Amino acid sequence: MAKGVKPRVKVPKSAAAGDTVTIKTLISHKMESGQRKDSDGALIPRSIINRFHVTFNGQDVIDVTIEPAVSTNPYFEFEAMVPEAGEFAFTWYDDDGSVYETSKSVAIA
Amino acid sequence: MSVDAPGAVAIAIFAAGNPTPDVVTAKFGPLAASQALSTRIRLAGTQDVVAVAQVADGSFVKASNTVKVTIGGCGG
Repeated sequence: MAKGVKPRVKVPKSAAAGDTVTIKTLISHKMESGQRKDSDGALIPRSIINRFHVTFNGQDVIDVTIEPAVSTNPYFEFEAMVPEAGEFAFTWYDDDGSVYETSKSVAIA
Repeated sequence: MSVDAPGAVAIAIFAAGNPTPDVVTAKFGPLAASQALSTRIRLAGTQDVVAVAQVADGSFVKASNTVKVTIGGCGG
């Protein structure tokens, strides 16, 4: 596992049923592109998060395939619909096989 | 970079001037309220950034925008 990977997610605590909520996610990751060279001229191997997947109560919200052109500390902002109270599950998949997960529950106001 | 494609089922972003042009591919599920996404990307230099969206009926639409990349803090 890459060191110091910390997912941060901003989701409203409550919403009206059927409402649209804006979700902002940030995960700390160096996203080594595989293009850079170290001081000896050797290529630094690629090490990125290659997939980001969001579900709400098991239903798909968004599934993003990430390439090395995404910046360090990948940030994503998108909108989701909340049909009922439940939980958003966020999953990031690392090149090295690590999986980073976090979840946020939303109540119906 | 932000992209908004109402009615799309998937969006792919390409940076034509990067060593590897693929940037992201996003698939929207039934609970995506809008087919929009914002993120931060790396660009190797001034170039066109291209978005291709797949619409629900199977057709594709394309949009592109030129992004000027200034290297160094002064003068540009």
